[in-house]
Amino acid sequence: MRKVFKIIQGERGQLLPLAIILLSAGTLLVIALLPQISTMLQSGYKERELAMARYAAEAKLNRVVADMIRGADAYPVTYTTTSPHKAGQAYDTYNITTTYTAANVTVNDYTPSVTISLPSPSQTKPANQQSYVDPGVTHPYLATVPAGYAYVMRLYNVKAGTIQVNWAYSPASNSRIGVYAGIPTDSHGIPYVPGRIAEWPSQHPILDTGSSPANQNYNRTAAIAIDPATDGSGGVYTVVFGKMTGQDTLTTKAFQPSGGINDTWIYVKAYKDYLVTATAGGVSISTYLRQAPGYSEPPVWTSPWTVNNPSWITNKVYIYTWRPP
Amino acid sequence: MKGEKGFTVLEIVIGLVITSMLGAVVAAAIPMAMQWAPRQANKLGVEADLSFARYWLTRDANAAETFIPLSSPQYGSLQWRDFSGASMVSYNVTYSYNSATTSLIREEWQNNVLLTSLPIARKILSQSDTQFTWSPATGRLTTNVTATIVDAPGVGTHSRSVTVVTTLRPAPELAIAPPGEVPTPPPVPGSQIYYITVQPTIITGSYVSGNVASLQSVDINYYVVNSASIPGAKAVIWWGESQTMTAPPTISQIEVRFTGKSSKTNISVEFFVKDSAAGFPVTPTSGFTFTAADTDTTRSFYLDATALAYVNSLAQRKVTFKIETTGSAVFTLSTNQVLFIASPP
Repeated sequence: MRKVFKIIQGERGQLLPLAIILLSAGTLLVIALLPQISTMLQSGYKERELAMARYAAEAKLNRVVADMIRGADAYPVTYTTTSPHKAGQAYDTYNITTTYTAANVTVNDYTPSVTISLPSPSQTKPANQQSYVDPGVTHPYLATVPAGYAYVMRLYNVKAGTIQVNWAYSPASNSRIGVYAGIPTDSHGIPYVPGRIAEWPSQHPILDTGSSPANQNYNRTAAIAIDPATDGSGGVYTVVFGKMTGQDTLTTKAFQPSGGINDTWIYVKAYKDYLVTATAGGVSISTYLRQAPGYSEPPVWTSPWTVNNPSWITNKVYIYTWRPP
Repeated sequence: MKGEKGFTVLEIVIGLVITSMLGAVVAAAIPMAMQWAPRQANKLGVEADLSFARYWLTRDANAAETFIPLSSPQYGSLQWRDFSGASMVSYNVTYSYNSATTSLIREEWQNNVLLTSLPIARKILSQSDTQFTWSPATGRLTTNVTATIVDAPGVGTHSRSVTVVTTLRPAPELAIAPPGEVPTPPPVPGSQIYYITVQPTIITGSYVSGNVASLQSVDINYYVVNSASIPGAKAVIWWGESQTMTAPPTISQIEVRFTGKSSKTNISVEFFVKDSAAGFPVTPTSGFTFTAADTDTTRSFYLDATALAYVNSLAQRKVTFKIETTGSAVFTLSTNQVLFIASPP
């Protein structure tokens, strides 16, 4: 036994080569597996990035849609319209240019870009419908209309179709509604600023109820066919709700898309179509949107639309196409 | 030999012991490793397939306007329209089960032409391993796909599932009743609007102007027909067909909404809806009289049970209706719009 221990104590081994061989084998194994691990990691990362980019692009689109709902003219244009006139009469021409810049949205570290355009005239479009539009019943100048005053509002994207207006209010009293193709002006030729006016426009209306019966708590125009292509309006129509005589202050009843005499509404075909594409991280989502009724006043065009200065009309935005990547 | 250096006895003994142990482990591991590799490949494949399926289901549902459940081996069809190009393109993506390849198949049709057909998930062992749950009221579509790997006999199976919950876009704008008309109840959620699809066929009367587009919107464009003589009266009679009603999957009610005007007052209007292969019924489905001349009037009526059952029985669900307008004097019938609103239960 002592001899054995002596042999062991005197031995000098060669573990180093063995360790090197084992380490080399291990290293080769890791190197062989590395590409697969790397591919799996890259695949997962890419999928996650694409999803995050898609969410960011969707957020940008939703931001534009939200602005449209609040009345933004998302594709600013110059509207050319005229003062109301009969065929053969003199008229003034007005060019009104709107503005809009989509706010930046940063989601998942992406700040998507957006392109907004109008469908081409020859492009196939969704079928269109008449709709009931809120003239802005929450605007303080329409919410209550004192005697001797009128409320002026405008729609900018009216299409050929029918127009009819109903103004429901309390107490029962007389009132007057006028609809004008284009922009009516005062006696100095200055366009009436949307909001409150203290006189009745003297120019030629396409609809005028005159003074309604004093025992009624509504005033309703006839329904007439209109065509912006032939009346010089360029799609811009002005509606005036007036309480020009008497003593009462009229309190306007709520907007309801009912067509009934007890609600306030404008029955018209008004909308604007858009092609909107948002892009983030190479991921694009394209949409076809319809905004109804589109840009309106008040607020007045000279005080540009902003999220803090939105339309008094809540628009509806219909998504006709949502084309994901 | 005395000066030689080498492995010590202890090293050799320890080495032999370790080698033996390693050998035993490796010998046991080799068969397992031979199974492990394909099993891991299967698992990775299933994960990739489910990821692929999740991508397509999410993408299609985000684009879709409606979902139509279909019978086995198909699950259903997601449909939408693309207005972003020069012409409208209708998309129809059908999901089905292929039992031969145990795959979930996605078929994409553009304007009724098959564009692609590809398996988006494999290892789907049975039709019921994929489920589409559709709620028309909320527009919510829930899809669950389960893929299962059957390992070597006795080793067991490995299942993975993916669930995709999406809410389809709200339906586009619905037609509304014009002012002064008796309000009809708003269409229930999930209702779908259809229009006349081809130019009407005139039986009595002389065509003046207008086309299918004239009948699709309330505007200044009318489909205009002058009356012609029939025994004892003047009349305009024409018939037309709705677009194919692809949604909702079960139609429990169809409303027909007509807007038009007559150049004369006291002109009576009768609607007949085809309720059998034999043709139009003798008794009108609905009717009214123009009480004012040159005034747009909207009237709506619902299909009776017989006509509804007939439409539902058709492979291509369409409403075929005839309008008979009669009066004692010569008149013109101008039709502004005809809508068909198909509602689910």
